[in-house]
Amino acid sequence: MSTADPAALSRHLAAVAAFGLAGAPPIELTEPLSNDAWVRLLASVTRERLVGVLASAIDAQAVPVTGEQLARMADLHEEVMLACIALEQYLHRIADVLEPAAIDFAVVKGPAAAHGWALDASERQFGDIDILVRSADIDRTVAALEAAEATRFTPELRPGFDRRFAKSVTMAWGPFEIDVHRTLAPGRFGLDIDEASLWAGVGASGDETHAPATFTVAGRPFATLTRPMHFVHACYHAALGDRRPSLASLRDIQLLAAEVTIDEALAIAEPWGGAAVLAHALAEAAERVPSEVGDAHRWARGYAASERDLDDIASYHDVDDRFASTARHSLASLPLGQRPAFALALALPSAENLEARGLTRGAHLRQLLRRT
Amino acid sequence: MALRRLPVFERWLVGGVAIVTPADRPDAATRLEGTAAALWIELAETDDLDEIVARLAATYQADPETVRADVGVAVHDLEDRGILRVDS
Repeated sequence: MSTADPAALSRHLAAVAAFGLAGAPPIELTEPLSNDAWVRLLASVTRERLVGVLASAIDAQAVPVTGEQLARMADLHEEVMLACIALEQYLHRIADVLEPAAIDFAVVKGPAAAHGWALDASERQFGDIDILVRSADIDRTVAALEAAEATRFTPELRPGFDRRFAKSVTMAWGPFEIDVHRTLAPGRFGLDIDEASLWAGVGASGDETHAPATFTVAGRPFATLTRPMHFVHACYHAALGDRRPSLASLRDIQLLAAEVTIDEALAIAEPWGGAAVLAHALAEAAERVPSEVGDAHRWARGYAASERDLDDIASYHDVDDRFASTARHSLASLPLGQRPAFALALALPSAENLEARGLTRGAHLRQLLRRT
Repeated sequence: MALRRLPVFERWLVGGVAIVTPADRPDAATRLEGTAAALWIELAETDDLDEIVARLAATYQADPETVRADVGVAVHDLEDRGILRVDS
């Protein structure tokens, strides 16, 4: 058995993340890992949401395992996939609620990836459901889901905030999280997204260049974004989400980069001021999930972001206070006429919102002043 | 005889085991292994029972009559579980 040191395990993890991608390095395992190293690899794979990819690598005999290790992997894969099936059942319930209410929605992230660009649905795990609705529909979408016994995590900051400024409303339904998005990112880069262009092509039938912007789960069709739009979204999510995006998120970028040209992506992102976001995400994807296909990486290596863009992207990764940092940058990016409403909502949230957060108005203001 | 997959939630697990759950029976997950799993894969290509038997017999180099008997058992089981429908 191989007793891999941390550096070797890190290489194995990167190779697993890139498994099946063009130009990916081989997984350098010629014998099963020691049980201790296997446990550590499984923990990393679980954290990085690559359980299904490792399962594929094992099935392809690219990762040798003992019988005991295979059994442990089978249990883990089944647990993860049963959760995905349960989430897809909630996707059907979402459609049962929103379709009779004539609320258009597009499924994004997890299930769209699994039934879209993932090499196999069983490779792509997900832990929640993300849907996109139009800004004008977000209030009644939340209301419709609440009528079906979903609950929002936090009351709206102030009436009208969600449809004007929020990225999404996070809700709980049963044991799961449902994120109702009206745009693709928080803060400045989300506010700069033009809704009409975001929805262009949603549910389209596809052509000789790209797959349809729909997918089917258990016989039911769901509208989703076009592949170029998914690529842009994957880049936004990786660059502007968690400080260290998961390897699964970066794998999405690499898979989509094989299908989408950089010109297609820039046609979407440049009008939104998002070219620097794409470059940032592509650079991180290339570093941590080694695979180079398409022309996007070549473009990213040569791209020079402006100081403002670099500063704005950095605001999303403020280790001290991401909320305050992105709020400041959001305020600066909004048209003058919208700034008072945004600032008012942050300074004077509704009583319901304060109560849900366990704050008095005075405590909230003191916290806000400290943070800004 | 035609065999039709019914709408299901589906995933394949490491080692070649499928989990399928009928769309109209969300609490009735079924594991497909062995002959049932092989049948399920073939149903993505064809709905004709005779063709499925021939393909499986060739793939596994098995006696066609033995395969037909095994497939017949799997068909009845999957039909009972609401995963496939048999059209005469």
